[in-house]
Amino acid sequence: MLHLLVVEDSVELADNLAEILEGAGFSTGVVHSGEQALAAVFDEHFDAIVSDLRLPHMSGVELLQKLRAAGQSTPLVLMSAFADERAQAAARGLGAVAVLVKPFDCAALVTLLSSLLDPTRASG
Amino acid sequence: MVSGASPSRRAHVFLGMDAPRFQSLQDYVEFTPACAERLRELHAAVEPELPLVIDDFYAAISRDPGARAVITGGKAQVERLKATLNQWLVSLLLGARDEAYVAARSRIGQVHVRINLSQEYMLTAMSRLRVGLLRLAAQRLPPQDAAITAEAVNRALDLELALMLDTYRADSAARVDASARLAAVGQVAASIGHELRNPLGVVESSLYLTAQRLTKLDLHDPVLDKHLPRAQEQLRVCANTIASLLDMVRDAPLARGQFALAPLVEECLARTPRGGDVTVNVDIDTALQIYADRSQLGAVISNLTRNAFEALANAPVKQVTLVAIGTASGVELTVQDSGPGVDAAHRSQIFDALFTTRAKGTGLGLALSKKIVERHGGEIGLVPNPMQGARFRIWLPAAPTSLRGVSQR
Repeated sequence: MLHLLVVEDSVELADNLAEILEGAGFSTGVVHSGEQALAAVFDEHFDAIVSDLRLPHMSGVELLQKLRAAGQSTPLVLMSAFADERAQAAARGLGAVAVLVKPFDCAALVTLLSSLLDPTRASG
Repeated sequence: MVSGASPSRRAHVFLGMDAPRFQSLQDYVEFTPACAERLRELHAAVEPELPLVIDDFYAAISRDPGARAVITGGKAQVERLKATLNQWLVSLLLGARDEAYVAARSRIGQVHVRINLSQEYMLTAMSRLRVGLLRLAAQRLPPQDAAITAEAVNRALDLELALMLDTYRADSAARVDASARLAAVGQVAASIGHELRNPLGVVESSLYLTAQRLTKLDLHDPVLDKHLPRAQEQLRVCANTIASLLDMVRDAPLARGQFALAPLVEECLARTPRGGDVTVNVDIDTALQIYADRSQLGAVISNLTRNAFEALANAPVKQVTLVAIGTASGVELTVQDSGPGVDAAHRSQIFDALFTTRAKGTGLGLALSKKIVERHGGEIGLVPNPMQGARFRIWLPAAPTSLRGVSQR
């Protein structure tokens, strides 16, 4: 089963996203900050990360930078309440797969992740 | 003169030029009590012939498509306007130049501003009145009197022009104020918009989960089936309103490139909801290239087509026509519908943010479109439509010569 990490400081949204992704056949881990996300990624394997752009202390872009600097190439989808072009461009430049503006179509997120992840690379 | 529309709905109230200033202008052109006396004599001599001047004034308007466009009420309106112009001429020749006079002139000026009468027409229309009055003076007064009366007429009409220009200037200042206010309000609204997106994201995902659950349980309930999609749809409306508001406030950088206009128009039409009985005519050469930010121009075209389709709801003929013409200096795109057209009283306001005549409109679409087009160095406006309905014209400048040939997807 493909394993996804949800990074979202809104507890309710994190919970809903996990529920949606699990309903779509993924397994999930949920954290509420960038620091927790880094720790989780070094602790276990995730096939993709779905992260909020604005997080306390460490932004989604900073999380992405730290992951790439550490040699982690896990695909990352950003979610944002801000359609801030500069942050979006920076995120794409660093290899973010997509930036979804909240509130986004949840079915589109599921489709995006399903098409992004090759089932043969599943972590089991 | 064009008058008789409903009172201005603008927040600012402009009562006209203040008395000392008006007096100083009268002193400047040397409009003296003797001039006023000359005008009274002229009135006595030409009163029966004033309708000739009035008829000439409206005949000139009816011959000019641009001037004609401000009259939307047909013959009946023209007759009312002729009566108003007659009163105006009588007060020009007989009236005391007091505060009530200035206030009355200001009200007329405000109607001109509201119906978007360009200052060129205001000036040239005054020329017709001037020529008409001077001609009557020459015909009906002894030659030695006619010359002096002509001076009085010229001075009086130039004062009229000063009063009218003052109304235009006051309106322009009010718009600058409104724009500054909007910028301040916009910043607050933008913060609120951002804050609302997170809870809306929770609502969206909760509704999605609920809908999925119902599907999984194979549960069909008419109340749930009705209200769940409704809640989802209204959530989209909230999200779109926030997006438009944020677009309005921030200046998204322009990513300009050269691309074919026709496919973009087709994409915009494809994503705009419309009734099944609407005929859409597109006359755009597939080779026509435009230089713009493709996504932002798409937002403008979608706004115009959405407005056009919505205007057709109760129209007997449902037709939308998009035509583009390329020239060396740029590209002109017109979007025309067969709906009821834009009420004359609303023409000067339709591009103002938060102005809407639709029950469900946000009042942001055209304001945002204008902002986008102007940031491209282009123009957008409502132009006269030879047929019934609204006709919007966008003009965007061509790419700087050095950039031509650089194409975008």
